[in-house]
Amino acid sequence: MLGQVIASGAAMGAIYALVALGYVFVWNTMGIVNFAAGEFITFAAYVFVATLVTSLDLPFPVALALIAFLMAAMGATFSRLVFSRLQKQRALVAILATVGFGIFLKELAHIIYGPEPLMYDGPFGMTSATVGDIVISYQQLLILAVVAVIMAAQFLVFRYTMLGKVMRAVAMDRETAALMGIPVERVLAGTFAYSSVLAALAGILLAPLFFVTIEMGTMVGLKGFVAMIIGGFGSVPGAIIGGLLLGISENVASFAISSAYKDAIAFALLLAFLAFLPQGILPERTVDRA
Amino acid sequence: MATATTRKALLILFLTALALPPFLGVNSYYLQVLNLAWIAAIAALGLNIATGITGQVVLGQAAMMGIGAYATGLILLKADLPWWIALPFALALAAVVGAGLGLVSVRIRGHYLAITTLGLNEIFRLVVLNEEWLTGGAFGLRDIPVPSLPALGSSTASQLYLPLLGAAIAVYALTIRMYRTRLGRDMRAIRDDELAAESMGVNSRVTKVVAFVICAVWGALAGGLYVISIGFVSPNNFVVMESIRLLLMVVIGGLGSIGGTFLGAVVVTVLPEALRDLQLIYLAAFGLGVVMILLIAPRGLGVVADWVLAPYLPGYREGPPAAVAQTTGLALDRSVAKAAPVPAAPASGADSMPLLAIRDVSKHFGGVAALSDVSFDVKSGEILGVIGPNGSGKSTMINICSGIVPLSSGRVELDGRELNGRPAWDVHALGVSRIFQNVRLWNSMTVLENVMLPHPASRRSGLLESIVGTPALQAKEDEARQAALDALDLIGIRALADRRASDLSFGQSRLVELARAVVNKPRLLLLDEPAAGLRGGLIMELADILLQLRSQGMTILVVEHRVKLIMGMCDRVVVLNLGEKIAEGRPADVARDPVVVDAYLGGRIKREPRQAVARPPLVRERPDTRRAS
Amino acid sequence: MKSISNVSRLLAVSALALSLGPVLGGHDVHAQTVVGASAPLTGPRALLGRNFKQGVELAVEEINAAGGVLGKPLQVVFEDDQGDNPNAALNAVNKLMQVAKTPVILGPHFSVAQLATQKTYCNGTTVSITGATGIPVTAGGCKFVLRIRGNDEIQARALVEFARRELKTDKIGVIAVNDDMGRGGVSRITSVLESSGLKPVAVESHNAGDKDFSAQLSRLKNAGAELAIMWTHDNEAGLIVRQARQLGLKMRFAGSTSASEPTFIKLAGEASEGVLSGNDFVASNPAPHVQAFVKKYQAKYGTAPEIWASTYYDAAHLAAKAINAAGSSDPEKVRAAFATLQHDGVLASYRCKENGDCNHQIHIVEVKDGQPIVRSTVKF
Repeated sequence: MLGQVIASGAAMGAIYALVALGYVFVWNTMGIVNFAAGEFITFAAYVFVATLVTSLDLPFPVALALIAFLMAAMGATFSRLVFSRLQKQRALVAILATVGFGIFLKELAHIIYGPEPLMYDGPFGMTSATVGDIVISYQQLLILAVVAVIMAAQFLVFRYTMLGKVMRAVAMDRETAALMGIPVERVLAGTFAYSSVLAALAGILLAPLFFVTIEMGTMVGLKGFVAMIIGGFGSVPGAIIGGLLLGISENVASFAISSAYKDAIAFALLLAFLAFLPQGILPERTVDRA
Repeated sequence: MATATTRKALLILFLTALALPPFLGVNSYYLQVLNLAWIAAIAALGLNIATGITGQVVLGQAAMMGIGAYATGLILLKADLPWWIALPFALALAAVVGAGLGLVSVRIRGHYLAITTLGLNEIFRLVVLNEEWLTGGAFGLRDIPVPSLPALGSSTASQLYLPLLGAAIAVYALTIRMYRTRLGRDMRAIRDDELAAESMGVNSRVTKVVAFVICAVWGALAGGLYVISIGFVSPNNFVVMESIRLLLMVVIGGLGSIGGTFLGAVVVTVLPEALRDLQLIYLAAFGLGVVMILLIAPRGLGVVADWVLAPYLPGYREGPPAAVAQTTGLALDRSVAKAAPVPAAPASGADSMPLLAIRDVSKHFGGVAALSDVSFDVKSGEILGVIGPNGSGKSTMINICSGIVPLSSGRVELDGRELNGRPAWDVHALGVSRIFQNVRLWNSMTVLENVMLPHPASRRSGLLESIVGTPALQAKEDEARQAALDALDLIGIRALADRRASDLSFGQSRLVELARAVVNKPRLLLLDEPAAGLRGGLIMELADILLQLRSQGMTILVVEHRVKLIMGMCDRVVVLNLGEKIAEGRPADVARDPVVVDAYLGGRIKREPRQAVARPPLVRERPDTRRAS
Repeated sequence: MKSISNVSRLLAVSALALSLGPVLGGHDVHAQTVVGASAPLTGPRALLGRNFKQGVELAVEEINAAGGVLGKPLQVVFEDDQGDNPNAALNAVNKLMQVAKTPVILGPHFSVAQLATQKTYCNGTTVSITGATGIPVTAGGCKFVLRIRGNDEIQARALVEFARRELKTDKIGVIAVNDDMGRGGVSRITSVLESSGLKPVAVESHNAGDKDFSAQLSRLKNAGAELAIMWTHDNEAGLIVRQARQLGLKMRFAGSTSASEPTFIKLAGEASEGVLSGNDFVASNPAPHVQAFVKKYQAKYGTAPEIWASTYYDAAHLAAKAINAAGSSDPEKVRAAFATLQHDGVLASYRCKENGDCNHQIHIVEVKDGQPIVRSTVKF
């Protein structure tokens, strides 16, 4: 049964990794932690399921493309309006402002879409595959696959394309990048847009597992941040490792010790890391950013 | 410009208005809602002290309320003791927890602290929920005896109204007291610039612990009062959303504003009740409000509260504002200082016991050697210049001497006492003061408060006397204030005393920093490029001031670029290049030394082959989460 | 800066003025009989609050068509208590008691909200009719609370005994939500099992809103549970059986009322088949008065009624009946009327005991083909 627990934990961990990636990009370029990340997930899930799929009855690929576009636009807009102004402030102010912004987004979804949880079957419904003793649903496999694909795509883009180089330049030294003619404002907006698309993706992947409710993304958002800390603040591979580690350990500990304290386990893990390994598993300095 | 009397009258009017409702026969529903507002105001103030005033993010204040509520409730129920025994016990417990959290905050900062406090809140709730044998679990603690004061009214709400309001007012008054004195200054200094605070004598560890203890105690007090007046408590009272609500109150009231927090608490508690039909949009409105306030109007409702409370807050002066200094240059008023003639340098070598002895000091950052085996002395009563091209290690040397950076090997001794390993505030207490290359003033405080902070009278004030406000404390405050004014006089900028530090020009703030560095009459003054950003005439004034200070017995170590200043002012000069000392001696000699010329200009003089030393890392502009979030 | 300062000033003053000013728009008690209702109109349980409100409003229509209460039309004033938030419940109940001055309040529903507010209303100024199932609600000596659903003891005992007989197993595991409802259920199930000399093979818990139950399900499987009793909310119950199905687990499931609610069945899909539960109300109950209610509700709102709508539909009718029987809206007299009142509601035939428990039966329900079907009715 342990294998089962690990497999389910890994799927959840892949979601944490996706969320952690969003945090990493925003941190590296803008120097703020977007505490509203969980609420971005919720909002994207609502728009996708309620508006695109249900009301407008769009086919899956079209809805997917549309939500990515919408969230990117939303991310870019919020980046210009709100988040770019937070960069100059103290960390305290940025934290409080993003927390407030998250509350606003969550309640906005509540106002627009009402209190009912939304059902979304996704492309796979309840079907699952069996590997030996372990049952893993196709939805969970999809999540793992998506995260793997994104990792590979990011690696290639950062290493080999101009876009990747531009983003890395802005993250490393913004002033020099500006002096070299890079449109820094646009890159920042674009990075934020990308992290919003990651959130949208997380929301869509989660919706069939979780049902869309107002509280859907909040805890996931917080745990994604924990995953980034565990993996190494600001480190891309760290985000993946931290996410998987968190998802698996949380589930295994919940299985082995006590399910009543499951959420507490994630935070206990955080405290352990902060006490003994505060720079995380793959600290940012010694790791190639791609 | 309303006078102090007008504002005090307004305050009294406001408080009286708040106290009236039970006597006007206002419905007990409204009284109950207001009671909840007073309780929330106390908890929110605790949060403001830690977050708004000391700058430490706390996202778990509801857990502090929970500790107070459960501790009080359990003692009342199980031990059957009266509330005036139960409540102090609960506060003591909370103080211990707060101290623990404060120690945690020394190591864990910024975002890490935020998520840690949030995690602790959640862990607290889960423990309380699961350990039914102790806490009653999900059904909570019920039938807790509620005191009855029939003389004050007919319903519980009206009976407890005045005591709760009174408790809130008392808590706020105490906090304002603390705010004006040394503790408040230290907390605000840590918030504005922790590094500068430590270098000016603030023990940031102790101050943070104290801030968290007060935060916990006010939170627990609110929780205890809640349980005493409602008679029931459950884990649902302390979910993370409640912590967020308290945070909303603090932000809407303006981070750091004491009176504003009170208004914020009233608005967040009462408004949703007063306009119940708009229930759905409240949280959305508050969330958006937080963002807008932080970006556009960070003072929030504190704008109103601070105006009324101004006579009780630091930085208030009656009458028209002090004459503003001219726009061109500073036209320093140094009539006081100019009376004494500029003395000659003391005979060098007369008393050769070095004040500061630097022996074989090396400092490595990762693989890069910023300093390699540097040794020199600073003699008592001299002005020593440290020069060298960029990247030579000058700032690192100053940082090591002032205690904010540890050395890798070697010794630094002040009067025979080892400085290395001591925190910056201990080094300051031994008589070492400094200014920074980029001016680090505490922007939210006035110039006077900035300069008062490092003074021994202020540093010696105790916590308890700060709260109670003894005559001894008042004497210390007066002494510190006078010394600060004298220091400002010496520099010639007394007219700036009541200006906010953020309102100064660069040149003015540089001089304020200098006044701040000398107010405690340090034995050793470390100046890191004091003339940076100043114009010609002012630089000469600066040299004058430094000579004046030297004549008063101060020893000065100056790191500088400008050759003219060095020549005009220093008794001796040490030259660093690429982390090594390459010359030492009188300014004229050093200026002619070919090795020094070569270091600056690059060139033809043959040197012994040395291992190429890499340049030390450039200071990163991005915020460093590990050091000073 | 000045304008922001002025705006802030205005905001602060208006907030205070609003708080201290008199209530706007009172209720004219001479023209109507007013009854209060404390329901979760907003917050995470808003869906249930909506059903609550719909049930009450249907009842009000019927009551007024039959002549109203004390010869006047009945009006129900709703206040939002946000479900299980004690402070919100306190404020809602207070407002109803002190401002609208209602002699009877329908709700608050959650046990923790009841416990928080009983100190306030049990002094004889108002009577509360509630569907809360926690044992402490009527065990605390409050004389003015009336419980119109089967309490946790009834639900647990009936379910456990039926399940043991039906499934012929003693290997029973429990999975419950970490709140007042879940913990109450766990303690009742454990004590019922103990009275037969048994212990649950595993007791697992989760937080409200949790999404992944693989750990808890794995532990139940490891412990050898053949029957798992879920004491949790609709969403979570749906997820639990779904994930159990996905994991290929063979254990049967039984649950609290949530396991026969429409939300659960919708969310669980095929996995809901065969799940047992105890419920005070099922829309498929063939009893004629229940069907009549279901038809009327369906016609008015377009969906079938569920436990919240039906509970507070009955509550409204009971309130009207009791006030009419007492001949006045004096709370003491109304409470006294309940002692002798008999009423056949859509939940049960009510007979109120001294401690306030009025409903002493429960239906055992099984989900068949996506419909909750009554298997038997257990009376205590």
